[in-house]
Amino acid sequence: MAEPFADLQREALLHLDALYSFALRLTKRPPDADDLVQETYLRAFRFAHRFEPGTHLRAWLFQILRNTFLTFYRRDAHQPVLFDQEGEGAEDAADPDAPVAAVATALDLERALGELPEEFRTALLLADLEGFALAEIAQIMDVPVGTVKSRLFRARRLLRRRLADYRAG
Amino acid sequence: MPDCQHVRDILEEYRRGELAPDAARQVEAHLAGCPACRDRRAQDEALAAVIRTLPVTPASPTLRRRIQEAGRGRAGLRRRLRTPAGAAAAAALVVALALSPWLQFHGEPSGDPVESLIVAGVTEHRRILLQIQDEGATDPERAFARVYALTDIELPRAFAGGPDLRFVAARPTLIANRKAAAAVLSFESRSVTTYFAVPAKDLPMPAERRVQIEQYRPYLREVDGFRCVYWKQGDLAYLMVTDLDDSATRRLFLRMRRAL
Repeated sequence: MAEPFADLQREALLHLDALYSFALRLTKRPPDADDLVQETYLRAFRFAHRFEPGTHLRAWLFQILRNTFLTFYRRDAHQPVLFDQEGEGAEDAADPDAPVAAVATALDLERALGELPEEFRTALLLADLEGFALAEIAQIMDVPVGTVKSRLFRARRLLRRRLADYRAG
Repeated sequence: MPDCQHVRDILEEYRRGELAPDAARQVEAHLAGCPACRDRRAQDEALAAVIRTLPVTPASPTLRRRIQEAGRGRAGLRRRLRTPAGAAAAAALVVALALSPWLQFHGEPSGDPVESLIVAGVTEHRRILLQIQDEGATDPERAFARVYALTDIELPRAFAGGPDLRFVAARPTLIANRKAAAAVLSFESRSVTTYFAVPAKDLPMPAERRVQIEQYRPYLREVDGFRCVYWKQGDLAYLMVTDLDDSATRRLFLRMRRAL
């Protein structure tokens, strides 16, 4: 039988660049992203026996990374999440004149993403950039699927508003 | 036929192909007759399409290597653990594995001032790379004046750029606890190079690891995949951090060394 640990290690490394990019968007500082990713892999190797073969390794790694981030790196852990003031019922008021096609640059997008509360940014990156299924995002973020959906909804609304603000100068 | 509220509740699943075929058909039927829900779906699609274009930032070769080494150490550890005698040594190894790469990266316990400067310079260069696109065109003279006011370091005019060397930014900074002036330039329209100028007086010129580039012998290091060239000239020590290839690095070094 092949070395299962060696297989896991090899497969885990396939996700290194995606994890690093995610870490950079969480910490916003390359040295912190380096530390965070390294700690993520050390933990994954340490707890490899807890990984169930056949389940999604990539989701497991993202989950470890985010938990590690919340434990060690999150600087604004004690700040309240800045929910946008409108309630759910305001969705129909979303500005139809602010289509995303007007996104000026990728840089605006990075900036706007960086300004989102971490819960919103993480949900959106996992859903739209990493392509995880809703159930996987719920597992990574340790919240129910309904919470994931509401975070996605709010994240998109905030993001559109920010991008429209940049466009307006 | 489901109403708008119900459709919006499951639109996320629908877009992601996570609905059962029956439910998906119901959503489709509703979308066909409801411009508002169609619009909402199109907006989410469009935003997702833009987010998918976000670039991947690759991990540095050094980080990759450190993780591979940690994994190899673990594999060895697991084998040794099968013998009871190896357990104590294994416990010590866990601690070493957890700490050593971190120390290697951050600490410079050797205290070598040039090595410390280089490691800090690479970190700062990467930070600058991340931020630099935020800045519009800057006037070099004004940037140099601001740097001088804050650091007492006068950046030579050569850093204002030239025909194939575009000035990007200059800023005061702190590397390895030394005040430094950073000048950022783009060479031959390619990647961005950062020069750090620091007062030279208590900085040595190492004897080892020096390379001959025409009549000069700068100190050369590669850290995290970046080429670092260090030399002293006049009252200043210079550190150039770049991801240009070897021959472009040498050309750019020569050009700047002669212009300073």
